[in-house]
Amino acid sequence: MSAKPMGRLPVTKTPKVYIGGAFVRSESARTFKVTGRDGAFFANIPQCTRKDLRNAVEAAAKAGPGWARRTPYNRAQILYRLAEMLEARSAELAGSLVLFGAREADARRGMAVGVDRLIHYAGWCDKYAQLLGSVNPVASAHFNFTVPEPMGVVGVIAPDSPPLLGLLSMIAPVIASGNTVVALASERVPYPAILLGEMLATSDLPGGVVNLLTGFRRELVPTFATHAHLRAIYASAGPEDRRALRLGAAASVKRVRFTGTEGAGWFADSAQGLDAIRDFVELKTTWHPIGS
Amino acid sequence: MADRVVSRLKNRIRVLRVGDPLDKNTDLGAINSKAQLTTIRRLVASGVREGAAMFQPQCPLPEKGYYFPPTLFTGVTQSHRIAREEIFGPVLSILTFRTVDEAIEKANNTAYGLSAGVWTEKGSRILRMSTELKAGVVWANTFNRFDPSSPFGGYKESGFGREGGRQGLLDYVSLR
Repeated sequence: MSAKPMGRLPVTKTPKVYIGGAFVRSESARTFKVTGRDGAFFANIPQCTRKDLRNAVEAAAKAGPGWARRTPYNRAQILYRLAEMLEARSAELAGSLVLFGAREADARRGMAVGVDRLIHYAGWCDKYAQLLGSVNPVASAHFNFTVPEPMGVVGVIAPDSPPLLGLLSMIAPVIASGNTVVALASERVPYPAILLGEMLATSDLPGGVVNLLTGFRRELVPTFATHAHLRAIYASAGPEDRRALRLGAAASVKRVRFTGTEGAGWFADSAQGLDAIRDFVELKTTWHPIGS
Repeated sequence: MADRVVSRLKNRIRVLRVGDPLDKNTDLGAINSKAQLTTIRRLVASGVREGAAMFQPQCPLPEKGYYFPPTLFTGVTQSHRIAREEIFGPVLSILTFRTVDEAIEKANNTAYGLSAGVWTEKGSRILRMSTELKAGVVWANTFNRFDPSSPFGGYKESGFGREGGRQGLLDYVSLR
């Protein structure tokens, strides 16, 4: 046989989800195909199962106490540095949005807003407690004060549009106060979330603080609703999912919040702020005696 | 320390007067319904069955109405139903601890988190405990105190939101 020059074999990527600081396939080994805007096959994306979701909740619960114990200043630094890293790689992320149908200008603007949003919530890290907490003037000899504390593990269900800015905007306020997150990326455009996971892995965010799943909403929403270790749900959801989430969450008295933001609304300044942080903190009031 | 506290608690509940809730001399009123009385009886029976030691003073209960005597359990473990479920009756389940960490772990090992109480002479320990306890209200060297300016409400499966204080009001308004 004579050696014949061959074209280089294509090296395609196997996208994996980011759980507990590691890149894993779905335990089921199931995947679903995504195609680019040109209709050509792009990749097989993990089709995560209930079991994957439970594994992610376990990882998030494990990371929770350590993350909550970080100083607010340190959490701010970590979020800020994540923003720096996304800024440096925003062309890659914007490219992944364009690949799945976003307009070039929208994708670029979305990335700029996303980076700014992380910086916005980085700034809140050491400030929200002063605004949400208080010293209360009780009519007895007690120093009575209220402080916000993280709830624990929060489930995030991200919108399809904009897939990445929506996801970032929902994760940032939740982790700013020391919660950990299990997020389900957009079903229609999951690939940018895979890329985001790769960037989170090299950021200073400890593994397990943010866990990103890909897969089908209809398969995962019931488990998001009923998993007793998820203390809250933050979802971008239509009427049917909202109903399922509310009903399922009731048994474990889970806090359920739906985003009022949709589509282009995510680009606006009104899509960020203290309210989103307030939705995912518990308030603790201490009665400390005064005098001997 | 536990033995001393338990023996004094027993002395105290021996002299509680159970009776008409409208009588100002009454320490312990009636249970609010037959269904609730049944729940209390069921849980107390489970405490005995699961091996905790029950103490009930010899006290007269009114013949009419839904009454349950003050009850105290010692030798309770975290897996007992009387330590895991809400009894909503005059029943105290006592768990003991050796270290602060153990106390915190036992206190937090529940699906509920409405309130907690800490008794200690050390101010810094109050703050350490109140930082670690997963409860909406932490009373130090006191219990069941309320004030309209102090937010009240639970963590975890103990309910939504807060009542009282600025935080209680915030749930009713939308700031612009």
